[in-house]
Amino acid sequence: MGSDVVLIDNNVLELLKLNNGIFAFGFVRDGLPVCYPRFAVEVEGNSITFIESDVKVIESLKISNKVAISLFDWEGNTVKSFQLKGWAEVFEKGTPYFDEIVKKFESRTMKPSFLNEMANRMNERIIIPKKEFVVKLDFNIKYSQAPSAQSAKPIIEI
Amino acid sequence: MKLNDEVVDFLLNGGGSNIVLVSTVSEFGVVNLSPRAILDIDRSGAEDKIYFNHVFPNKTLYNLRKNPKASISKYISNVNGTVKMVVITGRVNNLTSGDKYEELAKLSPQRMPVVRKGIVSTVPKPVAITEFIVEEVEVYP
Repeated sequence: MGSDVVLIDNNVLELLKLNNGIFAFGFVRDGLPVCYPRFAVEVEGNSITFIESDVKVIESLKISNKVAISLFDWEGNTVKSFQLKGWAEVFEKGTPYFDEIVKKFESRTMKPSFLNEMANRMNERIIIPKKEFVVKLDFNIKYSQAPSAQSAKPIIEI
Repeated sequence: MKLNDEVVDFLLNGGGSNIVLVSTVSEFGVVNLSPRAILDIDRSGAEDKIYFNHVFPNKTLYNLRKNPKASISKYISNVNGTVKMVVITGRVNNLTSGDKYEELAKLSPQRMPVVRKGIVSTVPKPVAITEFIVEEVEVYP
């Protein structure tokens, strides 16, 4: 498959919107798989970018940049549920991409536009306590996590 | 390690469901996240144990058989960005037979109903039930 395959389609965006722009971000910390919520600041192509405050997360990503995210309905009302897997790239202060992303967040020019509406009604100190790093997640595989026998199989792989 | 009442209530009822996210990692270091319904929490012993099932062979079970370390996460967020979150790390045993397996397998249809077109389907007997032994708990805020 070519890189023009769309993994983050309207179904994924719908779940991101349902979750107030917050997704479950999984990575390996000290040899253990862990998962924390993060706020999406930019969704572009097959990537999602967020602003990270915790240096321990960055240190873990420097050891292993293999990541996964999950988007689903915690109340269990939605059948649609997806997992995306890929890798993380860290951008530090002073790099053009770091500045670009922080500016998009602060000026509320994020994509998709529903993220701006959500950020406007959220307490920034809660969703992004400090703007220390920018992390871009590039995905190359998507799984459906609907409760069926097919759910363990990739539905799209680049 | 023991869970307190607040954490147990959050795991079973937070966000109106007993769904949690189970994180595992493969032998190649690839993380896998899977939403799971909690079958039961056993608080009777020195260490609390959380149970969830595998209705069919899947990546989570595959990973847990290769690497019995995992974490269970749950968070709920509201419109102002406030997040309540619990992250629990631990080790697992995968049960495929025995009294505990049979007891919990009977709970599956109640705790993890599969709904198709509005009709609750019969849940097949699980290929395995994971016993997650709590080792560390992080609670936010």
